[in-house]
Amino acid sequence: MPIPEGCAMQEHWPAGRPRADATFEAWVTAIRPRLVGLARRFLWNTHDAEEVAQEALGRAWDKGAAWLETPARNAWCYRTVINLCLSRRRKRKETELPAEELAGGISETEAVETAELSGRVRLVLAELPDKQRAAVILRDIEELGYEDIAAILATSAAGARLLVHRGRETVREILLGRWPESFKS
Amino acid sequence: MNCRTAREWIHLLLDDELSLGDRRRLDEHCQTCADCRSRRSQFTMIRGAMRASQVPVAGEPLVFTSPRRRWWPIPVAAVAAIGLLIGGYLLLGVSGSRHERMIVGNAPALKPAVEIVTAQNGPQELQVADAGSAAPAVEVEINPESNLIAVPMTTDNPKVTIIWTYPKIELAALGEEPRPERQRF
Repeated sequence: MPIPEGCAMQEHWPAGRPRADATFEAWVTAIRPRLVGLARRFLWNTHDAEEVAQEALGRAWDKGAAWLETPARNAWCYRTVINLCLSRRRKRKETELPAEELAGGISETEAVETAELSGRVRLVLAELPDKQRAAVILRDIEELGYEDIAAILATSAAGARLLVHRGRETVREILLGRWPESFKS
Repeated sequence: MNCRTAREWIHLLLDDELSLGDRRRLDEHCQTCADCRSRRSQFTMIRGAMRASQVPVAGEPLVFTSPRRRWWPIPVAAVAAIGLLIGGYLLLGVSGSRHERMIVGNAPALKPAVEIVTAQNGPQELQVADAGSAAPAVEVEINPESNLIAVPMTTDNPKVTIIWTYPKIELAALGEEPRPERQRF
């Protein structure tokens, strides 16, 4: 079935893939902004984030109509976006891009100068181990429940909770060690 | 409350999983403990900083997990199998015009332990017996094209024979020679 006219997916749809139908389009409309937002938390680049979200949705479509009816599609897409983001970041590291781009789009100097806690937190989040970082982002920014995070990260709810708690503790410790003035109001 | 508990509860507070009473207890502890008080404040500030740049996405929350599996299908299957057995017994016992065979599938609650008594001429001919009864061993014909072996078991009603079916995977473990020891499968 062809994509409806004016559909946002048309201009982004990967070449060579079968065309999406209206049901898929409705789901895409709901989930795509969330996937882009999630990818931005990892990549801090809107263009890259949109590419990653698009790739994940294309792969989801390839899995077939029956699979697209299941709730598993949402967790799968989030997981795929996270994996694609981490893969992109690893490739960036290999090509030795500037440190500030690896550290969340801002330089350490900039973070100190702006003295803005959110910039520092962003910087520190980029230093967390991959799974901890993903868990903290999903819980504290995306505000997902532990059951949902567990489904996305392919772990248990207790495991997801542990990842989040450890990630929070690490963020706090790094902030206190590097910028102790951050918490002085 | 000690500081260790308070540290755990601060995470629960962030997760909005602390009851009103426990919040009060945490508050009381934080009023007397400067470390826990600053810790709670720091985590709250970090959380606020993380969400500061969040762009809210409109729409219904996504569903990530499938509905929990119900616990009752196995007992219900067992009860259904028993009902089938009794119904068949009554039906055949009353009408009783000819000898019938009733096939019962792999209902776990009804499956008896079966032991191989002899295995002659390889796995194609077996004698099996219900390990839990004194009933004599019966011969079983193995259909090489089927994944199941059918084990006929007589009942108190001479007109009814129950045929238990078992997965045949265990047969691969049998050699060409008869095994001297009884082997459970």
